Amino acid sequence: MHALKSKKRSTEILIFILKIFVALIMFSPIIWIFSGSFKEIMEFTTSPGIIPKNPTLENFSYIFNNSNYFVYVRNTVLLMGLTTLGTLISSSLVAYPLARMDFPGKRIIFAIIVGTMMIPNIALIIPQYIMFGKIGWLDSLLPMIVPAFFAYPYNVFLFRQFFRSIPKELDEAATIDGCNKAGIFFKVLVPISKPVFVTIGMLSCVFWWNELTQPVFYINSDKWRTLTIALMTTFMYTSGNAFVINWPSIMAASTLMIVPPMILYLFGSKFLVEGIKTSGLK
Amino acid sequence: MPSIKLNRKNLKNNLTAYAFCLPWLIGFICFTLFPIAFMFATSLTNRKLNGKSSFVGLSNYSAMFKSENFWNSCKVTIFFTIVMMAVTTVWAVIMAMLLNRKQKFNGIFQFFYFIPSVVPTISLAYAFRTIFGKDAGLLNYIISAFSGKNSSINWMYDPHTVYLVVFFVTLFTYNTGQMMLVFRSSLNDVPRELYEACDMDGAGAFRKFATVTLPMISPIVLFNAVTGCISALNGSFALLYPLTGENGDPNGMTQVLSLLIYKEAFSNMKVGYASALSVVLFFIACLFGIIIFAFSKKTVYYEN
Amino acid sequence: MKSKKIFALILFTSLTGGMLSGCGKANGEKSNASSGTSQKVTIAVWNEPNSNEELNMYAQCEKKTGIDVEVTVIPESDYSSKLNQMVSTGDDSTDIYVVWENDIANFAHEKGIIALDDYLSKSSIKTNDFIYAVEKLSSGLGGTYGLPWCAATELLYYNQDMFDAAGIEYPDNNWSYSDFKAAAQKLTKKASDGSTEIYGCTLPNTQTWWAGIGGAGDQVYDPSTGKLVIGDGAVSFVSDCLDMVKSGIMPAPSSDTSDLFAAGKAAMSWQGSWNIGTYGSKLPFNWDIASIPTNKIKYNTIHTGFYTINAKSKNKDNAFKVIEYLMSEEGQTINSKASGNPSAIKSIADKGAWKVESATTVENWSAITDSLAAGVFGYTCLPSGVTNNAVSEFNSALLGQKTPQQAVENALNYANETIG
Repeated sequence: MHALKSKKRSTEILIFILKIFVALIMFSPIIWIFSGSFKEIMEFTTSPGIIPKNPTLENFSYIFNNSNYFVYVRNTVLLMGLTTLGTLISSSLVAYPLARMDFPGKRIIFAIIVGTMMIPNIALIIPQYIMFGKIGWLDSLLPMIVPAFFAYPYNVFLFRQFFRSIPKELDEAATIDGCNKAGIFFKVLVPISKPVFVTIGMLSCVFWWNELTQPVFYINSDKWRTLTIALMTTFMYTSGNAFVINWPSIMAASTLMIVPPMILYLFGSKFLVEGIKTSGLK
Repeated sequence: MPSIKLNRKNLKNNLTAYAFCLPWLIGFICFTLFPIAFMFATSLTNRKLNGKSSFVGLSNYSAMFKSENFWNSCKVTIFFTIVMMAVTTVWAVIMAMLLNRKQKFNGIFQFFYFIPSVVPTISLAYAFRTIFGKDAGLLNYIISAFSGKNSSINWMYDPHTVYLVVFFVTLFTYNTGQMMLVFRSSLNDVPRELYEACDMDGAGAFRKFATVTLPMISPIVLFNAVTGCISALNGSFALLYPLTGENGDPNGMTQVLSLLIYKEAFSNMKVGYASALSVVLFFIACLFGIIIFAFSKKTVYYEN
Repeated sequence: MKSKKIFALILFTSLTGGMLSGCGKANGEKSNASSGTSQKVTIAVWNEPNSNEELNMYAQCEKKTGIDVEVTVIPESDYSSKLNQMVSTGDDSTDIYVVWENDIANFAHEKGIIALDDYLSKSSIKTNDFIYAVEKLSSGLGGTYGLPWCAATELLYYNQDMFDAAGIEYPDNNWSYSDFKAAAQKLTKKASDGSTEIYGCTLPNTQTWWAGIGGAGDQVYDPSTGKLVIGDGAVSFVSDCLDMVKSGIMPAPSSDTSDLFAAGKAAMSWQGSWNIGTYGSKLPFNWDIASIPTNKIKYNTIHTGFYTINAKSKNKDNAFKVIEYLMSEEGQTINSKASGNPSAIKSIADKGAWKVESATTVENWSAITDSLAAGVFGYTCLPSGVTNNAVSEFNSALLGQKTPQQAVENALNYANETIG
């Protein structure tokens, strides 16, 4: 009996050590980024120690002094805020009848929405690029912001799943009170779905904060660069030489970009984690 | 009378429903349906980046089918998508099972396991380019320290190790973190009694996993794995463009179709040709979509 | 009932309103930047302006002309494609494009940029004094569409301390390719386990690959057909590099690209002349320059960019005033001092402002004039996708993934496939 217990204990310890090991692996790139952002370029490209030999803040001051850093922040926040606002409004509107009303064509619409969820954006980006070029939207945030106001299938799908979980009796009670269908949405559903809006809003913010692909295609000039684009353009090369990569500057810019999602997780992990679970479960 | 009233009410309700769907309908036509049609049309022209184009029939397609780069890229795309799906799923299951072990500090561990998923992929890509560097890379440094010999493996340019690196990096994408959280909650849903029954039989950990855990969570794992394919197709550009460049170094071994599309359209300015490539990517995505649909019909529910 | 409808209406309007305000914001700022109250000119370039105000030609231009110059930096890696996009969409937010060799003819044909002849007839810019290569490239367009902002060359950089230690004589401008190879071998230092501590020479970069290939006898670029022309020369140069990589004289291509020469881990390096300005006095060792070693022929690629005026610009007169300043002796002198790139105007270049003052260890300044004389417009006239693809092929040959013959053949096939 004793032997069994100690065996169990040692497996527990083993598993705990394994956990620490996995945590080290998962967190290693972030540690590497943090440490790299305090190194001098010479040190970064010659010695791989984790603790910088001559810690310097030069990389951060390089970023703030040699670039329009706050313009990039503004663009990223603008992009994140407006797309999130747009998708919350439009996707919830579209999800409502799909979740809680019966009307002809519902099944077809829903099938199309699920179908379009499967088309990766990258497959359609070339025709969209030409299209947006024709109406003069290239080199602005519009190609990303405007579509958000016309319901992303994925978010419609999420909203629908959430709305379906709300008891139908609420609708009936509201109908008796004299609410019509539109009224039910605004008066009943929206107020009690606040956590859902927060959750999907957070997922959307995380996505757009990190989004690289679409800005790469649509943004040309410096004044509309987002932080992700700035990372691979403005901060990438040492000034004057386009062939020497300024690694520490990239790491410093990355550090600045990594911190906000971390804080979001620390303070909003309840919404974030719940939301992500739901998005993958159904 | 009542039936007319009912009909009018129905009509009104239907109109309300359609009004609510309007944003989606407009978006669908403008940003999905039209681009698809336009993509097919453009793929039949020799359109350049500067907008000049003339009709060339199927010659983009015949050039494409003759091009070695294209076939290589198709192969890489499918390989990358499927393997990424497999490794991220397995890794997510491992992390979820570790986190579900009732021990101290699980909240802190979840933070460390999950955070890489929500930080920018581009930052991670640059970090890994240097971690896996040849002369001043962290990994070679660690290996040297442990082995006592000077290790200078060219991780990302050696054809034997490049896939190791690329798929290792996919463990840090959003997809993995998402799956880990999902699996955690579905593992929690596995009835305790089943494990207890196993304990009575004196089954080992592995047998418990194979006979209880796996069957219980397999539907959700399967579903997530296959939807992971779409995010793999979509996310491959943001991951590989900063990691291995538009040529998919070394030797095109990591040049997925999205990279080739970007290269043809923007470096070579052949937009018509890039559209033909997009058509292929579109069909590959459809193929994966059909597979997902087939799975989801069996395993999970969309309708009720 | 009514009130709810109104509520719904308000929500919808706020939705569209929010959208429009999104547009409004975006467009508003755009037009602010471009509508250019007559005193503002926007210029697109790929290099960060010099951080020292004295050496920042745009800042000096503002002072002299009173015109507000706004610089939009687009990184080199996608400069050409972004410019093509802007020209094709008729973007009017930029007044002056600095256009590359491979684009100027297209832009001129598409009327994306204007002919400057009318302006030039009334101006003091000496258009008859350009170096030969520039003159040759601009001819055949039926007018002057662009003015060269400088003429940069490619050079051999070497670490004098390492040459001293190895007891090798410093290279001069007549150094032969075999001298170079012999020196590279001698300069390589190995650790006891056989790995290299100090490389004889860095790997050629995306630019100097072509210097090596041209020097080995290939034409590289055929102006009459617009095609990539490589063959035996490329095979022999790639094979040479492969041998050097195998024997540890050159580093293999790797993902954590870094400047090994500046880090003191390589004795020599083939790079553009603009690095003189970048290195200045920053390197912790003595260094100097020489012409690229002469193989079968003396070869290096000239790099420039042309100041052109966007045909859609609403501010052409002021744009030309800015160009006029930048092409003037003062503008050209500042540019040379900051970058180390000589002016493309011979009489200005002769005065030698490109002898970067901070580069105190450099003595062999004649390397630059020597390289300029031997320089040609080569790979820069080809689409960047083609040349990048070729370099990627060469790299995979160096890694032993294919033979040099195969790599060159693949690069050529891809180029023909693409250029058509």
